Amino acid sequence: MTFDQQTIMAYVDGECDAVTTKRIEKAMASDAMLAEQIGRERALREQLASHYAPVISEEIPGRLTAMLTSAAEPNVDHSFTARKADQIHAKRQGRGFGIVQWGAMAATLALGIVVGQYGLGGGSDSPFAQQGGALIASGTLEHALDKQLASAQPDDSDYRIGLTFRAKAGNICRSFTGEAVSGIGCREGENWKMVNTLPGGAQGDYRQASSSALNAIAAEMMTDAPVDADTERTLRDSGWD
Amino acid sequence: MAFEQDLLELLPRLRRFARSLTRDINDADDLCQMALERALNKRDQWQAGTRLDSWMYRITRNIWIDTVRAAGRREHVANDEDAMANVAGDDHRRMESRMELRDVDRAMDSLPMEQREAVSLVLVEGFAYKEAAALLDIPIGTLTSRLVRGREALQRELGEAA
Repeated sequence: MTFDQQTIMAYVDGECDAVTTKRIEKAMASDAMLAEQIGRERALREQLASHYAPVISEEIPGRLTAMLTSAAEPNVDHSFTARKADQIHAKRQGRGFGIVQWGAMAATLALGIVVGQYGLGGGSDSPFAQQGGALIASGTLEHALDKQLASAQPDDSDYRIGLTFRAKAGNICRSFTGEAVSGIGCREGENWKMVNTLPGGAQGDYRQASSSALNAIAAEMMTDAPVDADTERTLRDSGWD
Repeated sequence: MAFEQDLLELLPRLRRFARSLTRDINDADDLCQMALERALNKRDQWQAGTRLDSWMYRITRNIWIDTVRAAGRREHVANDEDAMANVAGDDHRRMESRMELRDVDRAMDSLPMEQREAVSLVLVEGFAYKEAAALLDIPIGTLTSRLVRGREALQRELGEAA
């Protein structure tokens, strides 16, 4: 009895029905060529499987795990988005914040847009102040960067903290997303200097675009992987040194 | 965060899948990163109760196809002189092992995309024919004929290399 290539392959892959399996096994006992052919197919399967198997136990790059840790994707927390939706909508209406063209956003810094929106007054409503020519966090944004942990985000905060990481310059930086502004702040002295800011976004797509862009920027800035929750707490308690 | 946690657990397998598709470790991780990004953005489209792994493999595969088509097929020509230089000093067994690794990579890379993805899903990732066919949106008959052709080409490539 002869079997076509497809049937032999299916047998090796465990895809044959019971009757065909029995026929093949019976034939193999007396057909050396068939046995050899099946042996080759099995060897190929094993060769491929064992070639790629080590990938499973490789350490996964931080840039991938960072996307999935609780701190990394605050913007896809839909319950949070839903809770905030009405409030956000009202604020956006009030401030006349227009739809931003996100297409080319990821690689560009939209600092001007954001600053233009808020001014640099450092007033209670402004997330920024100017100090020595640098833009630093102010008000509730400063408070969030100072105190808020990615692992314990208060519902009533205007900001969600994303990644906390050590930049190549050695200082600690933290990414954040907010209703109208998102960005990365880096520790300089007692302040959080704004390194990148992007218009925030209340609704899902904008928040996601914003956070993905920030994660990409952060990945370029960091020396190592983002810190874990315990380290983040320790850093906070020691003043982000 | 169950969704993220499930993706995290899937990551080693996705990386393996991406590696068998792209061969290059950096290309593979770039592919995974794009797949994760798309999954996070489109998480609403995943139906709880269905298999997340199939959904992720499908996303990964679609991005790979798009990327390769957009970029034109990039040739990863193995530099045998480099390979020999790298293994110089290794003992004979390890050298053989390394050369074999390169051979499998090279053989996989020589397959047309539709054969490579079929081989990868069934022979490397262990999907059943039915699952792999559904994931690729093709009839089972199409999958099995791609598998037969892919296997024949691999046997030929690896037979010559041996």
